[in-house]
Amino acid sequence: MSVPVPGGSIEDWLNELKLYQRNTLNGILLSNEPEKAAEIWITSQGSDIIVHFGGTHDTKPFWDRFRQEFRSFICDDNAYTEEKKALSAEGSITKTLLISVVSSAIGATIGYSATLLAPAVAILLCVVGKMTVNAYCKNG
Amino acid sequence: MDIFTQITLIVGRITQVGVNMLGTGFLVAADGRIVTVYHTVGHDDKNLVVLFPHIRRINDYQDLADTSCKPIPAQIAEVDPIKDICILKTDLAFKGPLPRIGSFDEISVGDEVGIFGYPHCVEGRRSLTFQKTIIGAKVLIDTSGVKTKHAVINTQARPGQSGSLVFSPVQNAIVGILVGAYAPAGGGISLGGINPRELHQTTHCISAHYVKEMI
Repeated sequence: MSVPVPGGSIEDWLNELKLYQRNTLNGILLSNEPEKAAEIWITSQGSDIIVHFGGTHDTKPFWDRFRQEFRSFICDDNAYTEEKKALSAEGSITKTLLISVVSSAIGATIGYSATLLAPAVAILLCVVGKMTVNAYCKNG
Repeated sequence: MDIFTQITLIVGRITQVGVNMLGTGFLVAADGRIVTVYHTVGHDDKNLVVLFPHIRRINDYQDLADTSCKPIPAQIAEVDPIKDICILKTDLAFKGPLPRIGSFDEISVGDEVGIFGYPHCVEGRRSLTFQKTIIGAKVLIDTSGVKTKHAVINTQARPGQSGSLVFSPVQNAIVGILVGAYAPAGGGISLGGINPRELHQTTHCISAHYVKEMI
């Protein structure tokens, strides 16, 4: 079961996000391509000239795992079937709904906060929407 | 100052052997929302908690041998990994006025500020500690193309203080959040778990006004 991804510009997709997310992402996008901006968003922990005084310094290779799961959601008919069924039951799939469902599903699978994933999901969905699902999946 | 005993909290994670204290956070809304820094919490809110206040007055003696605590479940509500700010949602409720959220725009270099946090909590020590210092500089820090307003405060900070609130008595407002110390990547050594490069008074705090658009 494939997921129809609405088209739209990067601005259209960012408009589905909260203002603070949009402001930060617009700054990153000034000097980075969309997919790189998504990677920066979910792998950053602030400035690299500041040493942290708390936390557990998680260094998991998070981006690759996230991108792999995103691709599974979009390209693998046998993955995330329950979520796709729920989406297909909707009259029309809005950008907001798609971002929310994909972020929650992937977050639950890889054990990361859906709130953190949502902006990166929005950017990758924009990339897919611009080239069609089939073209994105064939690109490997 | 007693209000800070009720709004400055330890952020931790429940493990098989108890609560692993990760850093400091502070109550920012009466409905239980708490501000901390993202690197304290990390990507996952599984088993995340804040600890209910353990003293009522700042002059109370804090029993360092008392390891009892009341964990309150917390979830990540908002996060900006570039600015390193995180909002947690809890079921805590607060009655009465909370300090206003201000900005480093409102204060000047040389102004006095107070810091409330839990230094060394990551090593198991629970002691709400007040520090007084001045704003040493205002700086812009570029992270992946995004410039954010920070202040350098002229005091040394230690692990556990990430997420501490920075309070301006002149503005009667929380003006910043302690993030860490200046230490460019790629250098330093560890002596008994301490990197001497971190032992200085160039402590960085991010302006609190970024929190306003997240709550």
